[in-house]
Amino acid sequence: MIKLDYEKYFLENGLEVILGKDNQNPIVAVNLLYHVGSANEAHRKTGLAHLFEHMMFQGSVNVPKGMHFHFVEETGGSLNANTTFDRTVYFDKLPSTHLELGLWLESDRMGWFLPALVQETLTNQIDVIKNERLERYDNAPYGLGFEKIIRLVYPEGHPYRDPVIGHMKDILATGLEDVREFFTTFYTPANATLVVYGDIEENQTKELIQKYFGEIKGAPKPEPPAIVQPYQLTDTVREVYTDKVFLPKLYFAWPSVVAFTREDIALALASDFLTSSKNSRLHKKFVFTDESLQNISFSNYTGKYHGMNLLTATVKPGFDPLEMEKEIIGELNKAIRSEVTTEEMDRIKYNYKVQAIYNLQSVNAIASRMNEYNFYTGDPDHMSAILDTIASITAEEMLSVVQKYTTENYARLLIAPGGNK
Amino acid sequence: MNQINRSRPPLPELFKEFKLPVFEEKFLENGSRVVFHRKEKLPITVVNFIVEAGAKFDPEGGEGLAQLTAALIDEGAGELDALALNALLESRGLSLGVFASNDNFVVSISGLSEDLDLMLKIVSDVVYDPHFKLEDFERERDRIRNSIKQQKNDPQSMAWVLLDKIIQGRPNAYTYTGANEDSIEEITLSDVTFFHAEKVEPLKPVFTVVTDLPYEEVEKSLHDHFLGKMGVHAPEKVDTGYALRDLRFYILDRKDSPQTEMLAGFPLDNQCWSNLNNAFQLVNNLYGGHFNSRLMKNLREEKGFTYGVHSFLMRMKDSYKFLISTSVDTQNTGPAILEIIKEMNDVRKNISEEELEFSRHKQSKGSAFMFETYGMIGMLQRTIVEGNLPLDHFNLELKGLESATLEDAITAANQYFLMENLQFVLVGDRDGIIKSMPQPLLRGVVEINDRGMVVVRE
Repeated sequence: MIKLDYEKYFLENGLEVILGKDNQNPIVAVNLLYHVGSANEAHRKTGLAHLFEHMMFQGSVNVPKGMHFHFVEETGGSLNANTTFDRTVYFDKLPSTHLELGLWLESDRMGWFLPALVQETLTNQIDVIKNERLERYDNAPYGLGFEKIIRLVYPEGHPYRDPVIGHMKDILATGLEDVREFFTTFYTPANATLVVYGDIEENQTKELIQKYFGEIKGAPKPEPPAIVQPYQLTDTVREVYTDKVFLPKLYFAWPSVVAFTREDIALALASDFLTSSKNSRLHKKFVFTDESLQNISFSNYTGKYHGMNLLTATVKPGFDPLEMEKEIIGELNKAIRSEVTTEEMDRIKYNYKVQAIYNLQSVNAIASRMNEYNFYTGDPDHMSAILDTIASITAEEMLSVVQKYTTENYARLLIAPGGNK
Repeated sequence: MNQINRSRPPLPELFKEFKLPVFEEKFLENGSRVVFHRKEKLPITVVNFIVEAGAKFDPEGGEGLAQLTAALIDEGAGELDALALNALLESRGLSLGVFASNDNFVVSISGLSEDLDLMLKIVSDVVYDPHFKLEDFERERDRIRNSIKQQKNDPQSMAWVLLDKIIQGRPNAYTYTGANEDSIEEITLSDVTFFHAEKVEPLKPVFTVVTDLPYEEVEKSLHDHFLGKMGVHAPEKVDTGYALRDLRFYILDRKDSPQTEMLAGFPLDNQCWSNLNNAFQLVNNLYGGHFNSRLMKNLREEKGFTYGVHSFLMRMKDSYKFLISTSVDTQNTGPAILEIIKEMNDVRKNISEEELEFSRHKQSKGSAFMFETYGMIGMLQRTIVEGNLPLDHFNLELKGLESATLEDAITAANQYFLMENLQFVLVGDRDGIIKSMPQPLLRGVVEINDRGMVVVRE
């Protein structure tokens, strides 16, 4: 039931194409993933990958500024884009009769973006991103927590050491030449994967893809960042940052593994075991029983080149955050060395199966997952493999992996009330 | 390199007709209404239990009672305590949500259809046999108490809380906790059990169900778990009339904040929905309802004042709110306000046929998208129930959008774009905001504290 049928092939210029058919509704998803994220940025050029997420809507030779939005919304469709450490995705959901429009739009900015690039639109989007950064990070409670913890856990030169949105001074300093060079290097057919999923006729769709993307000039695929070899912190590092917040919040981080490995999946199960529900070990102890924390969350924040385990906890009034640090670490160590019941393990695993079925509801979600899975594993239908892996992971294996990646030394950030941000 | 003509967008293929489904209406033996839709794609079921017992029934000084009742009602029910109930839900991958909107008290559950009977038993237990233990009450109240304090440092939360208070006299439960620092201390466990016994339990509920299963199976389970328990009463009437006020700019000082969180709006009576609903939706679309709207083009794509700006209608049973939301850097707060008002004024004077047509297409052509997922269909069913709308509402709406004329749109804009009554909440650096505002606007400035009380400076 969970298996997805697809066809994968390459155009001569190197563009990877994945097609899937679902005729339930007259809707099609066009999902174009560029294999570039903030991990590819040069030193002091942070935020460039994310800036592109904005600039790609600023017009190309045949699609003037603002008209990408116009054309898609006029069909009743929707569109957006997002950027991570590893990749940038542009997605359009359209009535299937407008598939050709989606391919025209995406191909025009892949092939004919640079001639339309002007300082005016760059200046405008730098202002927009400045406000995005203020709204989502600088002026939001705990907004800088993630940015600060990655600097503690990842060393100098690590591909994930800087925030995806970039540092303000780098954003403001971005020039046209930076944009040109970044586009020429990374926005090439061979560095992208196009997924078209939904109400399509395969042969006609292939012809349209060839028509619109086939003539875009190929270029060599850029060298990706090196995969970070596993390491452990040699000391526990601690930082305190004061912010305009009411409750103190603790962040603990440990270096972990790359995404979609068996260990990564075991760590995902461990996050459910530890904090995802009322009965999960740490939530039950601190939020439900002791009522010393407002919330607690353990997640395995991984990517193509490396990852980290991140544990966050918001401390309630009347509890000392430094004492809570000891308690939380102590309880974590206790939980991951305890016996996991069969019921606990079954509950965790069953939820993944249910979620996998839920994920089949929307063509946009399926197209997005296919592109993600393909990018990380080469298999657009990797969900089946993930479920098989989950089924084969025992409680003992889950615990041994989480023990391996939550070692004695860690990075710890405390966001404390009192700041004037 | 350019081998094909790319200069114009390709024309669409022939139109594929997609007929919006019309929900079915069924009735249980006791007369309770079921809004039903069968969708056979996946083995998923979503059920909503709805009674009109929302935050509008909170007593004065007890704001947040409906929400606290909702937070507590699934902390143990039937034979299971809070942890055991959670374990049962998790063991079957079920998702249970309970919330109180301004109008309604809603219990929502989703899961695989093979668990339909279990899902309905859980909802029935939660609604009709909650434990309401003191320790659970204290824990949930403490959690909400801390959330209220936390949101004081969140500009977006504060803008919502304060604007709701200004427009309707209290925070809207739909958006945040509903309670305030004082009221949360006043609410007791007895208040919660009373609210449940008097406001929730006695009412005749409405169910919405979307599933791949035939109705007969659903009906049997509903009868098994709800007959003999459900109330029969209709909800009380509550006066929710809201008054319009003159243009004002309420500033909550957040010293040295580099950005101003801005939320503006005014209340509308339900006439706007019944008379000019479709035309007004089109007007809102072109003003601030999408990426290509006048506000987005102006404030973001031309001036770079903001990351995003949106306008929208928030529907309640007896009234509506028109809202505009954005965040702008402090020095551009005044200029952004001027542009928001100017664009509203311009819409009242001038809408082009082309613009209206775009807005119409945006709204109507994407209708197939609304019915894609089980969760989205469940939301649409709730809209029908909560708004007391006909079962074919979405088809009627499409027809209405198609037939709305330019004259209708301009009439709607002039009748309901009440820029003279806009109430702005500005959460940011007071001195910076005032410095950015042109003299004529300063007359309407009022400084308030985080409880919405006016601050008078020496």
